[in-house]
Amino acid sequence: MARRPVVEVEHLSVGYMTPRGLATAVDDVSFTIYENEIVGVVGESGCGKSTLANAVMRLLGPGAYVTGGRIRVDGQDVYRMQPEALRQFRWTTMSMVFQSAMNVLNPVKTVASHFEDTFLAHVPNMSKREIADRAAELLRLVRIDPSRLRSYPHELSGGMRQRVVIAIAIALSPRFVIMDEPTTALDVVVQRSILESIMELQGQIGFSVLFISHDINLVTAISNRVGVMYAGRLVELSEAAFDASGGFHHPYTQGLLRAIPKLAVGEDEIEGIPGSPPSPFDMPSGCSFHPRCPYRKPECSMRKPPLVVAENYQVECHLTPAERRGELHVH
Amino acid sequence: MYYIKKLGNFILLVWVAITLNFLLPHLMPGNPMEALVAKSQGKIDPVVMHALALQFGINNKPLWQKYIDYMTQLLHGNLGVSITYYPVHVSTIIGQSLPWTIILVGVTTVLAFLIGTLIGIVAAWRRNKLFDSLMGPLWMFMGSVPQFWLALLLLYYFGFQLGWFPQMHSYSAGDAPSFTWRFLGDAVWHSILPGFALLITTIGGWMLAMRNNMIQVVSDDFVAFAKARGLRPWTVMMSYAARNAVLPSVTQFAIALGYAVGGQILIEEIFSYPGIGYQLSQAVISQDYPLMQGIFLIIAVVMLFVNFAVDILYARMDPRVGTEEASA
Amino acid sequence: MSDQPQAPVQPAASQPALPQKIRRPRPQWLQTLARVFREPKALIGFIILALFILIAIFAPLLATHDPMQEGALPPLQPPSKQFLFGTTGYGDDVFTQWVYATRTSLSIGFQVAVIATALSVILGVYSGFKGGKVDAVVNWVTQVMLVLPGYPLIIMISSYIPNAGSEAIVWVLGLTSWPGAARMKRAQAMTYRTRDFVLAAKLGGFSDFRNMLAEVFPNMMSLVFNTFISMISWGIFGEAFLRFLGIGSTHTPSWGNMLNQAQNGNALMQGAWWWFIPPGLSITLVILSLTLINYGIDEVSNPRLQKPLKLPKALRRKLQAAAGEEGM
Repeated sequence: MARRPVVEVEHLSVGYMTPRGLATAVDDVSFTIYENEIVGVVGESGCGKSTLANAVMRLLGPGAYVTGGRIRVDGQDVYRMQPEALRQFRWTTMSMVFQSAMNVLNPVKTVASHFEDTFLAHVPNMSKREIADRAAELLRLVRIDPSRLRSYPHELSGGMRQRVVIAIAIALSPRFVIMDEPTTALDVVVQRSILESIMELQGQIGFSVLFISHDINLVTAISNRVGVMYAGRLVELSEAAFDASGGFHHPYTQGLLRAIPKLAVGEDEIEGIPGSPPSPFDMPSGCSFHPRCPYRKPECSMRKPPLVVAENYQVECHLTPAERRGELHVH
Repeated sequence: MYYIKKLGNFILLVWVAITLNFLLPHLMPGNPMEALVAKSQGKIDPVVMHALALQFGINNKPLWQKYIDYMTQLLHGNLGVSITYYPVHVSTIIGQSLPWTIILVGVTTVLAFLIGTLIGIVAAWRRNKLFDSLMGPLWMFMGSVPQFWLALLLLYYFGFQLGWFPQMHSYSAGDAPSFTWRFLGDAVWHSILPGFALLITTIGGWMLAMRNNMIQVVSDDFVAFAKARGLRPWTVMMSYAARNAVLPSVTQFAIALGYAVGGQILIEEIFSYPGIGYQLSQAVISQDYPLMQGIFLIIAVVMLFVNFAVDILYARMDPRVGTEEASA
Repeated sequence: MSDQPQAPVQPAASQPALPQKIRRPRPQWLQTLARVFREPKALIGFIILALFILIAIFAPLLATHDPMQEGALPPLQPPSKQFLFGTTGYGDDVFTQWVYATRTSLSIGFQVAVIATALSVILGVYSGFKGGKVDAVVNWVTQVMLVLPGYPLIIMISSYIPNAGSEAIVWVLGLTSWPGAARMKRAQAMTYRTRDFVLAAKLGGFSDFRNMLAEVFPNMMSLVFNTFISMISWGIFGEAFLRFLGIGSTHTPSWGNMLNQAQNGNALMQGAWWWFIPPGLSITLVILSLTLINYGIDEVSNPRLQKPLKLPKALRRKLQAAAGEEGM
C-alpha cells in the first residue's frame, strides 16, 4: 500500500537560549506521519515532546529556536512560509489541541465567538447563520449540547472545555491534528470518554494525528505507531501492534513499560527507572541513557548509538535484541 | 447579588466619606473655625458668622448632636455658605466650576488613557523593536516632568512670548457661556495649553502599565491558541491579547476619572481656569473652610460613584467577575 | 509553550530537576539586584540618582555662597562664573539654594518612602498572610483610603496644620500614600499562604510571625523595593506640589520652595529662566531615574517580563546558511 506522507520531520533540532548557553530540547529527530495514521510520542516531562509539537506548529515560545532540520506538512516546508501563508495554512491544513484546556480559550469570549473568529479568519465571507449552524454541528460531534455556544469558558467543566477545543481543532477539516497531552489535566473517566470521541472522529472524518503523552499505555492503545523520546532524542519508533514480548524495545521503553502499575492480583511491585533524566548542560557521553541503563556495556558511554532499523521498528541503541532482553548481561 | 453587594459597599463608603469630612475639622488641634473667627473679628457679617457657627458647630452642643445637625443639613442639600463669595452657597460655586473641570480634566484623562493604552499595546506587540525602544524612554521622560512646571513653561512660551494661546481663563472675557459654535471654539482654544500639559505628562503611565500587562498576556496559552488557529494578527493583538490585558487598567482608569472630578489643582490655578481645583486652591489660600469641605465632599462622593460604576462595568467586561463570590 | 522544555528557561538552572517543592525558593534579591545593574535603562537610572544623592550629601562643600545670608546679592544676575546658576529676584544664589534644596527634597522623598513602605509591608503582608478578621478590617480601611482623593485630602489636612515644616509634610504624605502598595502586597502575600514551603513551616510549628519574616518576606523583596522607589517619587512630587501651592513653611530651601519663589517673583516673565529651570529639571531627572530603576527591576524580577534571549550571532548566521529559521 503506497501511503501518502502528511508530516515529514527531518533531522529536527530545537534549542532554548538560556543565560548558560544553548540547551538542546529536541535533538536530531526524524519521523513521518502518513494519511489517517495516529503516531504517539511518549516520554517523561521535559524530554522535549511538547517542544516537538510546538515546533511542528511553528509556535515555539520566545527564546526557543529551530537549530536544524526541516518540517514539511502536506508537502510544504512550515519554516519557509511567509507570515500570511503560514496563517492561512494553520488550521486549514494542520491544527492543534493544547495541553491546558483550562487556559486556551479566551476568558472574555463565548464559545460561539471562538468558532466565529476561527471561521472568519479562513473563510471571510461565511455568514453568521452558516457559522452558527456549523459550530452547532461540530459541538454535537464532540457530544456537547449546542446551547453551550453561548457559554463563557469559565462556565464549562474541564472536560467540556477540552471537547470544545477539539471541536474547534477539526472545524476546518485539517489533514493533520497535533494533540499535546489532551487529557492530562482531566480525571480518568472524562479522559476515557474524550479519547473515545477522538478515536471516533478520526475514524469518521479521517485525519492524521500526532499524539503526545507521558502515558505509554494510553498511547499504545490508540496509536498506529509509538515513538519514545528521551533527553530530546527519539530513541524508538515502533508499530504499536508489534509484539511487545519480542524484546526489541529500547531499554528505556522497557523501563517505562515496567513502571506501569498492573492491576492483576499478586503481580510483582512496580519498578521505576533509577536515576533521573540528564540536564541539557550535562549530557552524558555516548548514549544519553547509559547512566540509567541496566544493560549498558562499555561502548555505550563512548559512542553515539546507531539507528537500528527493522521492518516494524527502529531503535537507537548499541545493544543487540538479545542483550536488550537481558540475556547477555554485561555490567 | 453581586450588584447589591457593590451598591451596599458604595453607600457605606459614602457614609464614611461624609463622616470623615465632618470629623476632620473637629479632630484638628484647635478648632480652625475659632481661629478664623478670632482673626476676622468684626470683618465678617454677623449673619455669616451665625451660619458658619451653625455649620461648624461653634456652640457647646456635644459632638453627636453636631454630627446629626450636619447630616440633616446635608440631606437638605445644604453645603453651607462660602466665606469668600458670601452669600453664595457652596453648592452654587461647585455647580459652576464642575462643568469646566469635567471638560478639561475629564477629556484629557480619557484621551491620555486611550493614547497611552494604544501605544502600550503596539509597543508590547513589537517588543524590543524600534517603536518600543523609542516610545518607552520618551514617555517615561514625559511622565517624569512635574505638570505645573511644564504648564508654566508652556504658558510662558506659547501664551506670553508667542501669544498663540490665551493665557488664562476658560473663555474670553465679556462672553457669556452658551452653546454656540463660536463660544465652544473659544472654550476649546482656552483649554489647549492646560490640556496639553495634562495630556503629555499622563500618557506615559498608561503606556507603561499597558505594555507590562500586554507582554504578560501575550505569553498566555489562549494567545498561542489564537495564533495557532491562524487568526489575523490584528485580531490576536486586539481582541485576544489587548482585550484581556486592558482589564487591570480599567480599574486604574476609574480611579483617574474620579481624580479628574477633583480637578487639577495646580494646572487650574496656573491658568486661572475656573474649575473645581481652582476653587479648592482659592479656598485653601483664603481659608474658606465651608467651600473646602463642600468641594472635598463632592469629590469623594463622585469618586466613590465612579468606582461603583466601574465595578458594574467591569462585571460586563470580564464575564468571570460577578460569578465568583469572593471577588469583593 | 504549554510545557517547559527540559532546559529550564528560568536562569536558576543550576540545581538538577530534583523534587524541591518543599524547599523554599532561595531569596534571590541580591542576584536580582546584580542583574538589574546589567539592564542599561536601570543602570542609567542608578547613575542619575547616585549623582543627585552625592550632591545632597556634599551640599555644604558644593555651595558657593552662604545659604544663611539671604538677599545679600545683586538680584536677577544671569549665570556666570561667580553665580553658577545666576541669582534669584530676591538676591540669593540659585546654585547654593539648589544644592541645599536637593538635600531637602531627596531626604523628604526618602522619609516618605520609608514610612509608606513600612506601613504597606506591615499591613499588606500581615493581613494577606493572616486572613480572617484582621484582613477584613485592614482591607476595608485600605479600600476607603484608596477612593479618597489623594491630593485634595493632603491639601485639606495640611491646611489645618499651620506653618507645616518638613516633618509635618513627610508625615502627611507618608500616611496617605500606603494603601495602593498595601493592596498589592496583600494580594501577593495571599498567594504564599498556601504554598508548600509555607505550609511545611506552619506544620513545623513555627509561629506566624517567624514564617512571615523568614518565608514570605524574602520572596517579596522585589515588590518591596519597587514600592520604596515609587514612594520616593511620590514624596518628591508631593513635596513640590504642596510647597508650590504655598503650604508649609517657606524657609527651608527645597525644589518646591524654589519653584514657589520663582513663580511669586515672576521669574519667567522677567526672563530669569535660570531661576525657574534648575528645580523643575531636577525633579524631572530624579523621577525619571526612579522610573528607570523600577522598570529595570520589573524586567528582571518578573519571569514573565524577561526578555527572551537571542541566539548568538555566529550560530544564527550558520543556521541561516543552513536555511533553518527562527521560531515565532
